[in-house]
Formats: sequence, C-alpha cells, structure tokens
Amino acid sequence: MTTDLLQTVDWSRAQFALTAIYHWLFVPLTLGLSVLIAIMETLWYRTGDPFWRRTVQFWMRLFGVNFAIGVATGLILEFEFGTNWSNYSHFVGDIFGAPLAIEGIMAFFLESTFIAVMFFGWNKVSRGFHLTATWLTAIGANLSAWWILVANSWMQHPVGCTFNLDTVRNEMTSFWEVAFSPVAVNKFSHTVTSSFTLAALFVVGVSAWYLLRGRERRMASKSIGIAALFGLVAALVTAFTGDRSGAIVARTQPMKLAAMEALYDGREGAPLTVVGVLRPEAERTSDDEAFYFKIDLPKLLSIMSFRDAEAYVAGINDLVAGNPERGILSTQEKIDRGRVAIAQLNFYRQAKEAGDSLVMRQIQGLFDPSTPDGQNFLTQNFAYLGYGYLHSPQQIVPNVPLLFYSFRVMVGAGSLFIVLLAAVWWLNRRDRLADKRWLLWVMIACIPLSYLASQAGWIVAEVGRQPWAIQDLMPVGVAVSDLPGEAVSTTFFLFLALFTALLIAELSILLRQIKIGPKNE
Amino acid sequence: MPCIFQPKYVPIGKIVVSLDAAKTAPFNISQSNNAMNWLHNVVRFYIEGFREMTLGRTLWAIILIKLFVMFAILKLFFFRDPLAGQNDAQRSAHVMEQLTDTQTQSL
Repeated sequence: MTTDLLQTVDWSRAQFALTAIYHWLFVPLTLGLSVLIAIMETLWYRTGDPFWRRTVQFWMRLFGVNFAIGVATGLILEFEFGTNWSNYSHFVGDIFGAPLAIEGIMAFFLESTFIAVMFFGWNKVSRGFHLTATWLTAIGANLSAWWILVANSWMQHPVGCTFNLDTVRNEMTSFWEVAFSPVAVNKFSHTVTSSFTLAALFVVGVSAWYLLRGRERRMASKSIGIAALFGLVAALVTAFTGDRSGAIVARTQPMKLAAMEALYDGREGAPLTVVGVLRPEAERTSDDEAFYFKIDLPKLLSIMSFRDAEAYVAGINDLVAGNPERGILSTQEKIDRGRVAIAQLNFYRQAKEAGDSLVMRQIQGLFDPSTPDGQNFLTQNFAYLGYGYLHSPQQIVPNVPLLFYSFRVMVGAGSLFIVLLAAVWWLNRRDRLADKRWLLWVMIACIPLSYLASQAGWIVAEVGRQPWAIQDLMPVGVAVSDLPGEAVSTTFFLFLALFTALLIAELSILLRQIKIGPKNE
Repeated sequence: MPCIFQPKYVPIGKIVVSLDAAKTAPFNISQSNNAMNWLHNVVRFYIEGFREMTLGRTLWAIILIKLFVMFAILKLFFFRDPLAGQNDAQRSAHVMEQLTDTQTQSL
C-alpha cells in the first residue's frame, strides 16, 4: 500500500471511529431513557398522581438535553459514507441505502413528530394522547436504531444480494433476508438492550446523587425502583443476546472470535479466558506464548461458540495458514481465489471499453447465480473478492490486544451491572439503600462505566471485522475514497473540536439541570 | 349561545386538545372543524410550544449552531464527494477502475 493511500485509509478510519464514538455517546441514553420515561408516564396516566407527572417532566428535561445535543451528529456519518468511503457507498449503495432511507423516512419522522407533542403537549393535549406520543417517540427512536443496525449487520454478514457487473453494485434480492438476518436481529436486540441498561444506570446514578444529598428522596427512590428492575431485565437480555452473538460470530466471522479470545491455535474443547495479560505482538505466535498470565474456564469457548464442549474453535493461526484437517482454507488460497475474481472484473472492464460483447457475455455468465458455472464462480471466487486486494495473509488479523481487552471490559462491566442492579433494586425495595453511601457512590461511578462498556462493545464489533469494510468482499483500503490524507486529517480535528464542544455543552447543561432538580408547576 | 355541556377535551383531527388550555391560548380551538383550522392549530401548537420554552431555547441555539457548522462549513468547504456530478455509468466506471486498479490490488 502506498504511503498516501495508507494515510488516507488510516485518517478516514480514525475520522469515522471518532464520529461514531461521539454519536454513540448520545444515542444509547435516548433509546433507553425514552422507554423509562414512557413507563413512568404510564404510571402517571394510571394513577393520576401529580408526583409522577413531576418525575416524568424532570427525566424528560434530561432526555431533551441529550436529544438536542446529540441530534444530527449521525448526519456526519452519512456524509462520510459519500465522501470518505465513496467506493464502498457505490458498491453497496442499493442495499445499504434502503435501510438508511427507511430509517430516515419512517422511524426518524415518527420520533421527531411525536417528540414535539411530548415536550409541548403538557396541558394542551389529553393525558392519553400525551402518553401515546411519549410511547411513539420511544418506539420511533428504537425503530430508528433497528434500520441502522440492519445496515451495519449487512456489512458484517452480507446476505440477500447479488452483484451487478454493469452497475458495479450489489443489488438486494431479498429485503427480508437483509432486514431479518440472524446477525441483524441479534445485533439489534443486543445493542438496544445494552442501551436500556445504560439508561437505567443513568437514572439510578442520578437518583443516587439525590439520595446522597438528601434531596428528592421520593422521586429518587421511585425512579431507582423502576430503573433498577428495567435495567436488570435489560442487562440479563443483553447477556443472553451477547452469548448468541458469540455463537453467530463463530460461524460468520471466526477471525473476530479468535482475536477477541487471543486464541492462536485452534482446539477442541477450547477454554474461555476470563482475564489475562497479553505479551507484545512479536512474541505472540502461539497460545503458549501469547500471555504473561491468564485465567481460563475450561471448554467454555467451545460451548459458547458451538454449544458443544468438545467442538473445535479455529484459532488465528488456523485461519491465516489454513487447516485442511478441519476444512479451513488458508488465507493465501483465499487471496488467490479473490485475485481470479478481480482478474475477471478487469477482463470485463477491458471488454466493455473495447466493445467486445462476446467476452462480456462470457464473463456475465460467471456472475449469473442461475447457472452452474455462475454458482461455482460466485462461491469459489467472488465470495473471496476482498482477499484479492491483500498482499499478505497476516493482514486479516485485526488488532488483537484492543479486541481482547475491550471484550473483557464490556463483559466485565456488564456482569457488574447485573449484580449491582439486582442489589440496588432489592435494597431499595426494603428502603435500605439511602444508608449505604458507598453503594450510592458506586451507582454514580457506574454511569461513566456504562458508557465505557457500550463503547467497548462497538470496538469489539467494528475493530473485530478489520480489515473488512464488507466482510470478505471489500477491505477498507478499497472502500476508501481517493482523497488527500491531509484533507481527511483536517476534518478529523474539526470534528474533534466540534464534538468535544458539544459534549462539554451537554455535560454542563445536564449537570446544571440535575442540580436544579424537578420543578414544581 | 353558550353550551350547557362543555367537554374537557375536544378532538382536532386525531389530536385531543384540552379546553382548559384552549381558554388561555390565543387561538380558538372550538372552530377547528376543517382542515385549514386543523393545520392552523397545529402550527399554533408549535409556535406556542417554542414560545413557552426556557431551557429549550438554549438547546435550539446549540442545534442551530451545530447544523450551521455541519452544513454551511463542513459540507460546503470540506466534504467533497468524489463521485458527485457524475452520471450512473461514469460512477460505475470509476468504481470499476478502483476495483481493478493494479495499485489497489497491492494493498
């Protein structure tokens, strides 16, 4: 790879990561808090108790701050698809564009229409209509997430499409296969329930601050009661869907799983590493040399991956060098197959330029899935197109330490949240929470920890699929636009300044509103 | 002529509006029978909502500044779409060239 291209790819990746990380600071709280507010408002609707109305209005104010600061940060990501990743956008446009368009037209408008009623409708519309608007805002926000995650899931596991040689685009053949692929369904449930957990921890943490201050005891206690139970259920579902994610990743992205576990040599009855410290990259060539120390749970990785204690889990070395006994192709073999596909694309391009319709028809036949030749070429060569752009098999290995530690931060924090939320709910129910000041501080500390865990989850998902923009089909180096690296680095720092300013604004306004507390009408 | 029975809420299309609030509102909700009135009332609903905002004004200021930075500065001066201004065939040819470029193949 030339220095210029390397610079452009790295800066574009850094810019997209920065934008996505900042965007994701705002989104999960919106997803979860909207549902919690709707639950609290339902209590107001059923009881008519003004206490609930006051409580709802307080949390709604914090929701409004987060929504207003975060709204439209996702637009920059959509710009970046066109500007920084134009080859990618063209290559997948029809498939990737459809979920994004549905997200914009259906979900975002549903959310943005009813959010106005939610904020402006107090005293102007009936309680029932207001409650409906609040629920529709919550549903709209979460539907929005569905379509974005469908698009993301397709990049992790491209299904329901066929490649059109003339338009150089993948075209959707089955909307349902794209929208309801197991990867998409599981990613949505995992992401959304983890967002619910984050929002629950936010409510629990803010309420803990009131208890520490001896203010708003009733509101804090009632909010904790609802949020802790909601968060506990959400965290348990997150753990369940996380387990399913492991099983799906083992089948669709085995290198991601191997890197997450720093598993270099595949084995039957593979253990799950609970904690460990990795050695430097140059020393990590096999399982025996990968760690300074580690604590394993025997056979658990095999069970989580294939629901079988003796199942074989492929390691990094198997996936790079291949393992014929286990039917694992070497990366070099995949590179060779991918290069055949690229060569056919090149022949087609030359034939088209020369107006040679005979050659064009022959190559079109190779891309036709309805013929035996086409099926063979598509499964044996085109399926490995992206490998053809790699110059070394080692390039398919993502950043192992980043994945290994991020995964443990996510899972460790998630486990802590389950225990914490269960304990908080139980103690609050017995009115014994306010005395435990250390626990109240832990509850506050879990707010930033929940954000860290949420970001770590995305690092696992996105860094884990490197070098692919689209799994097996397009590496990031091909997906990137032909832009000067300096231009991308300049905008990187502009975004950094803009998003940091927005984050500071959000935090200062949020903290001020929390200090003010609920208002009496 | 005043009506003896006065409901607490009246429907405006699918929205049910509180008459208590309507009394203090500068628009007459009870006349909202036709589409124009409905639209008028929806617009007034938003105007009143924006007018009554306190914290919301700060948030809207932040939103507008942010959108200005995104669309007026970043979009106009920094985001150059390499495929903009090309028709579909040209875009396809450009991407095919990128996919089959020998330099790209040596990533």
